Amino acid sequence: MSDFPSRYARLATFSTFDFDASGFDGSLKEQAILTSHAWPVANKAILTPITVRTLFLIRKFWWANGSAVAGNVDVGVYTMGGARLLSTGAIAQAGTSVIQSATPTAGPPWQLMPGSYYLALSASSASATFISTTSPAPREMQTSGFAEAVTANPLPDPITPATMVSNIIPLCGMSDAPVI
Amino acid sequence: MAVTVGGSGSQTCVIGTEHTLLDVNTAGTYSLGLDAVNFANGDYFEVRIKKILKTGGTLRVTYFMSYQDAQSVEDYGKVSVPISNALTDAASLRFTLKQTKGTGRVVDWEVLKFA
Repeated sequence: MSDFPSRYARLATFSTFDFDASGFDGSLKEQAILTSHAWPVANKAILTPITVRTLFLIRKFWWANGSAVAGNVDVGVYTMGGARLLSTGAIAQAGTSVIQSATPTAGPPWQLMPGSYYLALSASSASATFISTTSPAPREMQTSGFAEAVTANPLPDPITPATMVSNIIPLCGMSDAPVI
Repeated sequence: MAVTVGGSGSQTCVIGTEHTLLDVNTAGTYSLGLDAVNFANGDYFEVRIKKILKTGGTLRVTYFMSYQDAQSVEDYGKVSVPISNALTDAASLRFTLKQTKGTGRVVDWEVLKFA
């Protein structure tokens, strides 16, 4: 059960490149070069495993657009078993080289308890670009806990995580702040 | 210290419905226990303990916990921290269970009363 101390220790923001995002306390982080990359396949979702150590209130999801925008983006949180807890729904990607954000369809704020989850981003168009890294090979992402899903825009409920074939890690996250 | 059963049962969860397991109107200290043996991958459960702070007050969530997916056999038993009540309103304390994802499960529960 939650208690007073955890509430005051909560984080303000969390991203796929935080230390509590799997793989980013070692070689993958060191290799990461963040620049604009096209989404590998239309409607694919990339699922980044994250560990939330304290109670987290989600008010916004955000992602980093690259040098070209197209189609719709959906960002959300899943249980490791594939149940969608929260997502933005399909949001038109807008604005090149900017951080774009959206409010979850439920809440906000939505309370995420400590535990392990997937932070998922999907894009409907292969012409969409995101600030991301393509440095790690799929096998490195596999061993760091990443997964992907096809035909996943908007993000489905539930989702079936599949073995990594692509090797893109988008910069995206969630925030307790009302403004990104 | 005497320990008695404040209430117990098996709750069949309806997805999206917050089920009241027990309302308490007697002074004492209480703790909720759940059996997570039926939790499965893709499930998500929310457990709340609500409390009023004065006679005629409004129930407020005081403790919240969530569980996702199947649990380890070494951790099927879930027990809350104790919560005390001195009031006699019909629902001075309320224990609830809500399953929001997956297939509705049957969850055995028990509320123990200490003294």
